Amino acid sequence: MWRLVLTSIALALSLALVSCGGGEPSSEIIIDGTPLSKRPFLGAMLAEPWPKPDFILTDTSGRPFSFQQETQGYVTFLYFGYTYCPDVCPAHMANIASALRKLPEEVRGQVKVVMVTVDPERDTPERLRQWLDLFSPSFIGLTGTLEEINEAGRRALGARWSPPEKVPLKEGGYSVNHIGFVIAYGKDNLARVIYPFGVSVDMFLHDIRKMLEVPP
Amino acid sequence: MKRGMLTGLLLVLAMTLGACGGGGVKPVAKIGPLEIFDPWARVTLKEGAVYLAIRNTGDADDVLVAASTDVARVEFHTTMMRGGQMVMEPVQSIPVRAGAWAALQPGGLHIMLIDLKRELRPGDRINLELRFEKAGTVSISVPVRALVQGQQEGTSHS
Repeated sequence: MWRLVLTSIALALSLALVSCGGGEPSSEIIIDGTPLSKRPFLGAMLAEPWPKPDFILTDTSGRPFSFQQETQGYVTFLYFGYTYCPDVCPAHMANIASALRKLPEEVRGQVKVVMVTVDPERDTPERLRQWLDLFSPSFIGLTGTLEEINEAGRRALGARWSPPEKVPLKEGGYSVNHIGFVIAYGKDNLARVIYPFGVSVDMFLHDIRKMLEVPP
Repeated sequence: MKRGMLTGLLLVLAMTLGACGGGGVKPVAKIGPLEIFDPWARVTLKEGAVYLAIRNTGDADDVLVAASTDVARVEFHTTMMRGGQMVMEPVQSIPVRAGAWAALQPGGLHIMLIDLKRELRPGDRINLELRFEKAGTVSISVPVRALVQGQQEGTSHS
């Protein structure tokens, strides 16, 4: 996992350097043995693709949502987060929403963004809806019992899933430790890339275009 | 060690970005040798975060020991990756070393706003008091920023 984070930061740094211009061009940037210009995606590439999981949770209108069925044929971002999350969850959601806003409507319509709450106790369907609307009314929020959410997590991540852990704050309330990366499934229902924290709007934009084969 | 590496990389990144920007950024507040730059809070419903940068232009180390606002409870936290999970840990205080910067930014150190009395909407401002061990207390006005690029300030979907 740390390698993923460092890779992303290295990528962000190289993008930043490139965007600066000026100075002598240096040699090709190599990340994990692949030249940057030949990497299909700027997120963290998976050695083997992960299959899209099959699970049913409840959406923000209170209806059952079958993840595999409802996202069939869409590029799908799956994230496990919560609405009381002050730092990383809103940053991830905002970056994806910002990237999508830069794409034409018909392209945006081929992408679904799904957040499964890891805090079903506080994240009611209404609250999830209200929070996701801060980013985009099209974002899908899912909840269930903690057992159902853990099961969905295990189906998506296998042994990598770690159940959310509540950590009390000093004077009441709690935060939740949770898996921090976003998984991106292609239209073929396979995930080839994940996004640890630190991925920028432009990196998401680049990868969404690649996944949909939209020229920049 | 890994945290050290990450912080190092982030600093390099921050400096690289800074070098692009043309250096026209002015501090929003000064207290003694300390300068506060670019404070902002994210749009949120109930819990949020304030980010900012502090420069210590003096030759003595200082420490940010407390922060307070009338809209929420406040704790210092840092976000890190541990065993594949994103973990937030409370931090008692934030050192601001002589001649150096302290950066509070997404995915790292932040001033957590807990149990907000009202939603933070784009264009809002909150008052935040920062208390430093040596330099004393300074009050700043923190703008609330839209979450999504291109979203209009002052509009809300809710």
